[in-house]
Amino acid sequence: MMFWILAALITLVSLISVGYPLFIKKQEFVDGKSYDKTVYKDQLDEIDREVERGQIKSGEAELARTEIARRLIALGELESESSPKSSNAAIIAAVCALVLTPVLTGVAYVSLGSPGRPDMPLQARMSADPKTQSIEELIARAEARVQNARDDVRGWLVLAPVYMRLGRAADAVDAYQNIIRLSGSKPEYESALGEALTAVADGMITAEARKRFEAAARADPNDAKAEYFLASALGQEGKHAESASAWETLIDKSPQDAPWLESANQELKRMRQLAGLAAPNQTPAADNSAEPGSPTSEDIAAAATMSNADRNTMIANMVAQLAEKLEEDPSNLKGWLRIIRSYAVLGRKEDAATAWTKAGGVFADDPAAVQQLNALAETMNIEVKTQ
Amino acid sequence: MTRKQKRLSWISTLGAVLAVAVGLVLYAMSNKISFSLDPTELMAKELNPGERVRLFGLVKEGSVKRGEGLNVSFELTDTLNTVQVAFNNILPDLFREGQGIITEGVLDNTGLFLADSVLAKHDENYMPKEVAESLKKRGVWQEEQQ
Amino acid sequence: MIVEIGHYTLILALALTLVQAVVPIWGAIANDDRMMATASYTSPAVFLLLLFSFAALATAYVTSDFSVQNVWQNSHSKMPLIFKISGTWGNHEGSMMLWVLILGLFAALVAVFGKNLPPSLKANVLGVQGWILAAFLLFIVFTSNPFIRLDPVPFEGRDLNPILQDIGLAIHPPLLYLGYVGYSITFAFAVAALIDGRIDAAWARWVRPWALLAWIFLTAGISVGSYWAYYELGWGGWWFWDPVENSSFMPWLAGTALLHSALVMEKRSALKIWTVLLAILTFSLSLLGTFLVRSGVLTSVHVFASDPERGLYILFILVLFIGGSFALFAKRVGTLQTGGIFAPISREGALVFNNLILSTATATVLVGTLYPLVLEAITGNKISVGAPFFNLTFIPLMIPLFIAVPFGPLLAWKRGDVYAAAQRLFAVFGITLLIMVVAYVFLSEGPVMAPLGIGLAAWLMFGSLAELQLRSGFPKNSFKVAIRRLKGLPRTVWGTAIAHFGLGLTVLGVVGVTAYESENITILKPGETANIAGYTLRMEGMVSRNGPNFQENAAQISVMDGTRVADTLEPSKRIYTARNMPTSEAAIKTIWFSQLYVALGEVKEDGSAVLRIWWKPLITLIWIGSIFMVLGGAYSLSDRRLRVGAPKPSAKRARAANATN
Repeated sequence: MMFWILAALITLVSLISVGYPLFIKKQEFVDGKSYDKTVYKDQLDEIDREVERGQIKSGEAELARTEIARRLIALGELESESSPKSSNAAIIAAVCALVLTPVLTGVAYVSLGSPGRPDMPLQARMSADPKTQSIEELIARAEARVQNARDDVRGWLVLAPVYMRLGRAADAVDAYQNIIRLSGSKPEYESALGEALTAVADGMITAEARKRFEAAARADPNDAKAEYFLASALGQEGKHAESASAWETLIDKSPQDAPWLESANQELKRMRQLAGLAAPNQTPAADNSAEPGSPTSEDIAAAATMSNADRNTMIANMVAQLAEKLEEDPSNLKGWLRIIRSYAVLGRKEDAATAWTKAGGVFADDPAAVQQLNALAETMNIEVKTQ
Repeated sequence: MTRKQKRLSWISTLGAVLAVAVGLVLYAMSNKISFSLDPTELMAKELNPGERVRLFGLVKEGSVKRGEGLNVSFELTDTLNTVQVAFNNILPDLFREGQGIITEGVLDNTGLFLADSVLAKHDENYMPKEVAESLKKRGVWQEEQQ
Repeated sequence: MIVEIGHYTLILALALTLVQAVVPIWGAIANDDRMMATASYTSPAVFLLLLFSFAALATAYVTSDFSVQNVWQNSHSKMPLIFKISGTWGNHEGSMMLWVLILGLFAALVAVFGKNLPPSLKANVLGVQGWILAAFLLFIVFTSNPFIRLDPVPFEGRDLNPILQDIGLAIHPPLLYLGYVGYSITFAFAVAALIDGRIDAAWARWVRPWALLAWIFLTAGISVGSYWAYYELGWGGWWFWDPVENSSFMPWLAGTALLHSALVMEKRSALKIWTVLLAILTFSLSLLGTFLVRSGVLTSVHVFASDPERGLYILFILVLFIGGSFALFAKRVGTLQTGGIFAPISREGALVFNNLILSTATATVLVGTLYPLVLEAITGNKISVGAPFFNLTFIPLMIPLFIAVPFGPLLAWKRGDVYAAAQRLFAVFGITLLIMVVAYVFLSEGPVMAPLGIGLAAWLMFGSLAELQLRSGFPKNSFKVAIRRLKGLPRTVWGTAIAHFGLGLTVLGVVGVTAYESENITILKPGETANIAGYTLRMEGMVSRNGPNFQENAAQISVMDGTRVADTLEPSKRIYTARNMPTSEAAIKTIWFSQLYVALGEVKEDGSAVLRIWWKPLITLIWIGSIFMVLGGAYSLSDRRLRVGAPKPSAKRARAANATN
């Protein structure tokens, strides 16, 4: 409403520029020719001044004067302008202009503009109530704070994992580097930085990332993340046998419910196969409770003896089953965690991300569940697109 | 001077200036203008030895080799044909592999293009118009491609 | 809500412009004084509305209101304030907003300061300006609307093209547009006079200040643009004969010709047809330039935000206005009376010669600019017309013009005496010859032609001073008398001398840098040195630092004066993070009128860096010369003769008007 009042006021004031000359102002009649006369008279004066200053010779001046005089005469010969009249045309024009201007403006604006929509300057959005802000906005606020105080380690500590979760790996690298710069090297920061570097390189464990993991492993031999990635690195380098034994070490050390176990087992199997080693003789440590869709030990044993293609089909079937069940009963957190993990292991990144987003929606009110989901996304390196 | 002489002198001045201008333009057109070609067109074209041309295309991925000093060589492609280009100067900021660029220089008799200038256009989609059109013509352009 | 009010006022301005386009011209035809007078009120109103609208857009930029699509596309919250403001016109929509704002400004200026214009002429001028405004406002509102909002609102903008994040961009387009668009007024005057059917010496007097004003801005705009390209693109060149540069240079050439022919028309009532034609041509070339730049039909190093589809609309505007005005011209040309006669050797003759050369030069530039387009359309062959073409065609044309410049002001109107003028220039000729000989003896390393170029520059500079010396009567008169006479000279005389002197300076700069430039491309490790033009540069090392929205890698280079470090230069490479776009920032040290210019190339693993070092002798004179031209123009503009007062209303009517008040 306020907007329309303002718009109407502006329109009204602008229309004065049409109404005033057409209705109110009295025009003083000046013959158009007298304007020309003024110019020529000035030219004559100018010649006088130049003669006075000795800038032109008197002969030249005389010639110039005659010429200007001739122009004045020619002007006089022109038909004298009739005194302008105030015709009805003025009234017609005025009425048309005064009516059409606001109408056209209104119609065009309503179809093109967003009447009354407030401005949204960044500053105001920054200082708005955090409860109403999106995650992105909150992050931007934290970023703004960090930009002003690049030595404030707390800001970086908040931001670094968030960046990882949002898939902004390059920013995460920057954040972890700052953390290490400010609070010194700690194994968990080193391995997190390594992970971020790996994510930047699209999953390739670069030499620099590897250095980080090695530093972390040296400082804390029980840093599972470092070991996990170092084992992967060996695999990526084609040292399959060494990789397999590294995976074994990791699996042995890991607690029964460690979230990385499943993929570690998967990798171990793959490495062994690639290295030409025998399949593991113990069943992988897996959560064997009878959750819907979870593989039974028979299933796994069967899987171990199957050919590669068959095994993939079986896994795909299991995943599909699980997905169906979750459609029916979305409140099954463990089911979600498993399906996300499976997708990630199978390399179906987009499905993993979609499932993660869905699960996030279901458990939005359950901070513990969200934490688990986030942790999973972090370890599985799931890139969640944020809009 | 009579009126006629005056007119004559004006016309001759006008004629002289115009003749000089037209002469210069024609001369410059035959000598100072260079063709703009993509690699396929360059190969098809019969060029006079030492004739300057503009060559445009994409810098082939993995083809940039840096030599001693400022020497750099790379391959320019329109995806059908490829021309080896040698250059001995500072490359523009936006020069990178896969980027569309324009070079100017001469083709030597071994088929090596000796460029003396390399332009990467400061356009928001980083793609010179010629290169985009050439790629469209060769049927490999996708709108998302940058 | 400011944004939405801005959008509303933009559309209101369009509606009011339609009134301005119709009512005054209708009034002039119907001889209705009230309708004619409307334009004087609507024009300032339209300008204020546009100003508000533009300010609203700028506010959205300054406050990073990313709910506005245009702001989101071209700004970033972390940009420095100055670039947030200049970002407003650093894109297609915003630059069109600036364009119409200036169109509106000129109309308002004529409305306010044009009290000395006959009412029907004024009404027609403002009406024609209204048509131009309406065409461009329609274009903005319906195809390039900068006020489109986004929902949901993105949190961060996509950043301004880093190349445009420069102080040069903040001032270059506004100045250039003031010039470009300024010629819309001379166009409007020409068309108005054609509608009116009365074109005489007085018309030239009225049009001259506007032609001069537009010329001043265009000169400044081109000059700033040239300096911007020189240091921002990092190629060390100051003029590339690039289509975009040409499209601003062509109106300048034609506008310069217009400036001189309007003088003849005012003094002698001659060259009427030609002057009117030039006024139309100059603005047509401005429109053509806008079309070439905005549509991207020509490849250029500095076309930004081009869009072929919207370019087509500009082409339509172009055809409409050029076609319309030429049709009107053709219809009226027969009714124009020829004016005063003059001998070929006379002031008029010299000015006609100036016009002949300038318009021929404009034509060659036009041919070179459009030839590739035409050839591609006809044969499909792509060619490039570059600097060699223009240097060969343009420079030879300029030489006779430059030789003639000092003669012009010394020749009398109507019939001049070239021998007398030559005699008066005898001393100047002597000085020129001396300078040429000195240049030839002492500057041995440059090309043979260089001393001749220096001589030409000297001829221009001293020749333009010669007029002042002659007018003062010094040394014949005593020094005191001379000073008094100089003080008494009309400002236009001073302005002419200053501007012509500036032209000489620019020529000297061009010759200096073209003939005596030296370049050294080298790779330096920290501690190594390179030599150029007697200076030693030592590479100290590389530094990295963070800017507000970029990361920078700079080489630190000491300029040595013997063993002492005289100065430090820091050429750098930047990566603008939002677009991940690299740029080079050259480092420049000015030594007197010359410059040391260092650009950074690749940096290798071992810390050595590729450096391109230029010695640019006298290069700053190019721009200092244009400052002189601008100052000369501005001083002329302040001459009282260009500000003739309005006639008094006839006494009887005036009294009647007073009585009613």
